[in-house]
Amino acid sequence: MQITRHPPVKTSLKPSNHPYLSGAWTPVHEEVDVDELEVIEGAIPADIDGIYLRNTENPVHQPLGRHHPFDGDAMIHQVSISGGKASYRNRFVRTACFEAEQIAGEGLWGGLMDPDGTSRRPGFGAHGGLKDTGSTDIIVHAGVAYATLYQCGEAWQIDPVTLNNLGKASWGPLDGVSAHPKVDEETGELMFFNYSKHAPYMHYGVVDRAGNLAHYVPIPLPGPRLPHDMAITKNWSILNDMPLFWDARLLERNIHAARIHDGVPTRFALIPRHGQPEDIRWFEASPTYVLHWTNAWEDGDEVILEGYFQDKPMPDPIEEAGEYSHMMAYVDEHSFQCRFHRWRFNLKTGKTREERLSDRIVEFGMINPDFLMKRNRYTWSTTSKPGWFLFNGYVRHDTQTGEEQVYELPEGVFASESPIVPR
Amino acid sequence: MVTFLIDENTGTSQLAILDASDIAKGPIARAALPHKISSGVHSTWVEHDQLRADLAFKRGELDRVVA
Repeated sequence: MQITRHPPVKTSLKPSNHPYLSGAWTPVHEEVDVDELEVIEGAIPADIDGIYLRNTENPVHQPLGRHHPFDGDAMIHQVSISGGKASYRNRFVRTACFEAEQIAGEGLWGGLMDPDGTSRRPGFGAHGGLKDTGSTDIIVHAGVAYATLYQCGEAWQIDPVTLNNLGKASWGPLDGVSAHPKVDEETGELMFFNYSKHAPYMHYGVVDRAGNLAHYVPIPLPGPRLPHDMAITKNWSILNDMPLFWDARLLERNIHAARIHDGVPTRFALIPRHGQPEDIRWFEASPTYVLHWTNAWEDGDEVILEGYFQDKPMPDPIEEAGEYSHMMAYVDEHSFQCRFHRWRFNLKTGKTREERLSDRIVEFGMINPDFLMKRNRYTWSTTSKPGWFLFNGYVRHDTQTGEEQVYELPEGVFASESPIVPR
Repeated sequence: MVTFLIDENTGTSQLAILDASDIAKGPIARAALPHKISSGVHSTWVEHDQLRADLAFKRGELDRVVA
């Protein structure tokens, strides 16, 4: 195992007992390359041949206010596996904001929980006052890895092999790109969305395999919303309008307080992949909030969507966490109670049918990517440590038989989101 | 199934591979990372074959433009 260390980045972060700056959330600041990792148990299957990319939260500067776990600077960890061997490297995502803070030697932007005016520079995201970090999602499209932010920012391009930063995507529109674009490997297209505080509040777009913005249309919403993910089928893209969003009155005073709006249903926009706003088919469903969808597909007159339905999108604060009581609850799956769920949209009747697929509190699911946009029998979800945003095991759901297979990690050991490598 | 583990008992991280068809038996392979990583949100997997196909497509596009 040969380790190559790169010149250190400037950091002003002080050691802290903040729940999301310590323990398994202690930021890493060094960037290294390792030619071959030492196998300490079993053997890496010889037929695995690809790259695992993991986006992590690693703030390098002392927060200007109260730190939220999603305020961190993005670091990509990569393992490249081939012939039973694995190499490793990790790099920060050098966004324009990251570089500006490197020059300043200190933090310039406040975070999600900070009051208006905390940032010392004009901010980014639908929120408007945030740092554009790219620290939420990581996907690969047409040979380029894109790191994106859940609040919408630029799509930051990274070479998936070298982890070299390639700057921002040329196709990123003015309102940015939300986390969770979706890729159709068969057509080479990438589908994405964004959202903002100004009408029409949401857009949807398609990027072709050559990296050109091929399609970009409004998805008109009644006001500012907080959609997190989207889904695709062969012919449809599925966007959403859910009743957890910023309180409009408080928003007038630039206070960003998300709350559930009683009596407001969940709405799904089904738009043909290259469709116009007038082609949108709207479907109503029971009120909830959903962070992630696992898959969607077409079956006769129906479009079927699976994901994680929250029973308590506005969770009770975790009082013992003091000044972090709300934040701790909003990142705790056991507080917002997310369960594996299926929505069926009938294109003939315009009606939605829903069914619960499991009683377990789970989220952050993965499927065999060969089944994207096709009916998949198995979904692998993660379980989390109650009270914490930490994965402590997995559940494999068999939606054909209802059977569940479980693996619990040893106490104190936590997993990352875990893609399935097809065989 | 591919993941990174953060072991708070030993202060280390590992690459771990599980058999997706039988997750209950736990990791079938683990390899030591040079440092303990921080937690975060999402991850992805891409096949080397997919990257080769994407590169070939890009070369084709370039040839088309140059021609």
